[in-house]
Amino acid sequence: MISVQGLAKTYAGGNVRAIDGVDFQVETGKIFTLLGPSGCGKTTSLRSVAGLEQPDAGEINLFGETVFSSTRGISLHPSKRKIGMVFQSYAIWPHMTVLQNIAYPLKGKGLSRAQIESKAREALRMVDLEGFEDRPAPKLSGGQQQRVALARAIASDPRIFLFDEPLSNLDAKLREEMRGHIRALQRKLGITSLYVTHDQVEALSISDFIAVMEKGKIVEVGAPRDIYLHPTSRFAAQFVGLTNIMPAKLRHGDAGDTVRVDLPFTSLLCQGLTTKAHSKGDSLMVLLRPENVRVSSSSFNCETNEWRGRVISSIFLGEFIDCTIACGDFQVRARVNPFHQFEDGAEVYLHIAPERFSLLTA
Amino acid sequence: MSQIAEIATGGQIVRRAGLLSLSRRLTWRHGALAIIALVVVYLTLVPLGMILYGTLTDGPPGTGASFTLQNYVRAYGSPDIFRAAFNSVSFAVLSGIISFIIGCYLAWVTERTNTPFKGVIYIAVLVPFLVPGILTTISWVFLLSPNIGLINKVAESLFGLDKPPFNIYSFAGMVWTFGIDHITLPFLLMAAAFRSMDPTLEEAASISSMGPLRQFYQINLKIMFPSILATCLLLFVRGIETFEAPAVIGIPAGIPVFATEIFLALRRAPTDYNLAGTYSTAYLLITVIGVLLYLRVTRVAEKFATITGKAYRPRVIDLGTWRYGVLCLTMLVLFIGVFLPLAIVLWASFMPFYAQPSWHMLSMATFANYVAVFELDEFYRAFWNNLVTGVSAATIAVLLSVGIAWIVIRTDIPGRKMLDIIAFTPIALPGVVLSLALLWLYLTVPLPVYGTLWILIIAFVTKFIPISLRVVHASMLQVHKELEEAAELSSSSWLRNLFSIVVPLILPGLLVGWLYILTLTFKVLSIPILLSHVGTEVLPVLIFSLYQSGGITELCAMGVILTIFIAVVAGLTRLISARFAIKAGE
Ligand SMILES: Nc1ncnc2c1ncn2[C@@H]1O[C@H](COP(=O)(O)OP(=O)(O)O)[C@@H](O)[C@H]1O
Ligand SMILES: [Mg+2]
Repeated sequence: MISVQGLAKTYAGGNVRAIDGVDFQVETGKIFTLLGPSGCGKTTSLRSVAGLEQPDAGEINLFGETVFSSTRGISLHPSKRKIGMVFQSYAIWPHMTVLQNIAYPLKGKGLSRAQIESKAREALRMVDLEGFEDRPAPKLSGGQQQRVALARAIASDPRIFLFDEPLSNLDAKLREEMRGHIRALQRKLGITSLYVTHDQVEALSISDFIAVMEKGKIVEVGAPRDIYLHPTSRFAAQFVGLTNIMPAKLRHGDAGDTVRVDLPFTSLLCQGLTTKAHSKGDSLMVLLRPENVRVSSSSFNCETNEWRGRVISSIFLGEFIDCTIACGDFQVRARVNPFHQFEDGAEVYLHIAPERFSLLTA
Repeated sequence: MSQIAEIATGGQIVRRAGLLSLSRRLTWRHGALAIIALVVVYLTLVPLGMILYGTLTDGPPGTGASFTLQNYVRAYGSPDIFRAAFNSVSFAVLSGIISFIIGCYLAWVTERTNTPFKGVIYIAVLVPFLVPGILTTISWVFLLSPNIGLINKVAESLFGLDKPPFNIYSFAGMVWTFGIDHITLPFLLMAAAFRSMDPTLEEAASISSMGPLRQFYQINLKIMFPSILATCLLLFVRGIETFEAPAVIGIPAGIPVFATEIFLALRRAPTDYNLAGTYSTAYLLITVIGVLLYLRVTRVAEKFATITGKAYRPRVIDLGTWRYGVLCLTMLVLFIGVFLPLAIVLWASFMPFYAQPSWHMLSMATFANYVAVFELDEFYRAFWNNLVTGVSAATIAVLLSVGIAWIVIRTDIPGRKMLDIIAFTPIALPGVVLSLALLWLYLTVPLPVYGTLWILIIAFVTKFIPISLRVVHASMLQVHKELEEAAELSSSSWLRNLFSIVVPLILPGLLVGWLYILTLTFKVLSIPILLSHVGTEVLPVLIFSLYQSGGITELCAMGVILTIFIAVVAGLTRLISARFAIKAGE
């Protein structure tokens, strides 16, 4: 288990607050992702856990052992924290062969040469790189280097894995493949993992839990499904996926799990949601994912949640059509099945199922 | 959660965290770094302090003298010091102009024109880098001396003159000798500047309606100005600290410059350390100004995006038939500047006694000088001393540079920038001043250094650290921080990680720096001339003393052998740097 409390770190003599009170816990065997835009402090948090960065304040516990504590003056050397780390640049030592790369961390640990070699080979086998033992490291492709980095992290039986944007230097196809690979390996070994990325798809697909970070702080933690479907912060809603955010007011008082809200151009019925707003007239934000908007040139003949709008633009993207539709003063983005075809300026009908909204207190 | 965050940013905790990071900093790794820093400070600042101390006392080093301002009154009260200053500065400026014009012209020819035989030109310009300055200076005496100068003799018989047209023993002779010998440096720097100029800038200018002259001024000159200035300033610093030409030509011609005035003050009986020290202060002032300006200009040059980083393929100017004219001029320059000095030394090395080249003398050519050199005990001793001091100094300088570069690049220890600057200061220390400072130090401090090879090693290390530091620094910047951190995750031994990850990765750079320093120790005279004693001479000193005692033909043979040795080492350096695509920083 990884437990991080009150982590803070400034750079440039206190002028840059890289992270500012970061707390999170990673349960044993789970993979936990720090997700956020570039510069929000993900790397700094990860490197603090690794011991490569010295936080100004906070406490870090790994499986009950305090490895860093500013108040108690504890700071364990990175090598004492039993960590396997995969760096963004892979950090494969170019002057060594594949096997030497993997064996280096095993040396000086009281193992015999034969033991080191068999452990290294075992790690290589796990990343499907058998037969590459004597290849000089620079003679590998990006994906292969990534695997060597992974094998090197595995080989020394770490308690935890740390990943810093490990896939960002790979092309799209390979990224998807490696994502699955890392996920499978992590499951198989059951190693508690901390993963850093700015790519929401990567985070959603790989994680057990995601922490969304903004400006050095964690704004929201949750399972991928919850983060995406029911974000509890505007930032998370906007950063993870595309969202229409519409200001609304509660029409009735506390109404259980079905509420009616008023938008400037229409009113909506929202189902299966609870909000913290309880009294009539409370301001809310309605979050609506583009893929939940149904668009048609003829009326759906539904009593609820049907609006009329005018197509401003529609861009054909293959998998879907990215439509922007004007509803009153508001512009709604919608993802439409590619077989549809809408002229710009055409009048269309929009329909959203009552249970496919999220509400946020404004 | 928010409570913790509040505490975390509270002043008290932050202060404690500061203490914590300090205690973590005080591992033995930082002990090692502290030792490196101390060594650097000791090598550079202590001798300087010693010289300043010396100028304020009234006795030679090591005597319990009392404080006085008398030395300053004596030195600055006499016009001699101002004459030396004037001579030094005008010598450096004028010889720098010669070097720059010729070097820049050659760089233009090879980089920007379609003149044939560029490869030959390129190699020929590099040759002066291989020849010790003392040898080229002497060779110019062979060429331009009023009595025996080859060029004088040829000119006399060709034009029927009754008087030799040139006299090497003059200010002009000194300026010419040094200037023509230093064309390689401006050549390399300006060639790099030409190469890093974005040709689209020129193309943009040609599309616009600028005339060619205006275009040259507006675009080429303005863009290249920082490089030009930096090159000139470097030449100025080199010129002002050089010893060979002022000693071989200036002393007999009675033209005092700082370097020779200090040398003579120490050679005179009674030795006047205090006066030499006082001269050094004025001398230092000038070199420090030169170096500071140089650093300023190079910083500006780095800001000029067009001049750094990317290498372009510059637009080649088609000279048409003019290119044969340019070729002739270039060949003439190289014939006079590079070939003649080498050829006359080579010629003399085969002569039984010094004589003008002629068919008659050719029949008397002999290997006797070479045989004599190889039978000379002093030669072996000097070579051995040179090798020992060169190898030790290069090794120590490179290792210290690894430590300094690591501190500067990888840590956030306060004062690391200062360390960088301190390690760089010897660039402003002329060889004779450094030697004087070391003499003073080790005549005062009771360490067994004075009169041994150690003092030479210390001097070489100090003087050449800036060079190795630049090479090592550049190589270490190429090593991604994460490569080191990946190792840190697996082993807490800093030294083990340093030597198994970082050092192997920068090894080509280290080797290039090492070999370059080694060749320098075989070439430089200004440092060992004051520090070598009987038994601790190095080769340039031996050549100089052979010259003074008239062993001219033997000296030439020795010079040829030395040049071949340096060429081999330099060839090795080039091979390594070409193989690993490293540029040995100048
Ligand atoms: N060594 C450093 N010196 C100064 N500022 C830094 C340093 N490292 C990171 N920062 C700053 O701290 C902030 C967080 O950086 P980082 O943790 O790398 O963000 P992320 O990994 O989320 O992109 C950024 O604003 C960054 O510029
Ligand atoms: Mg990052």
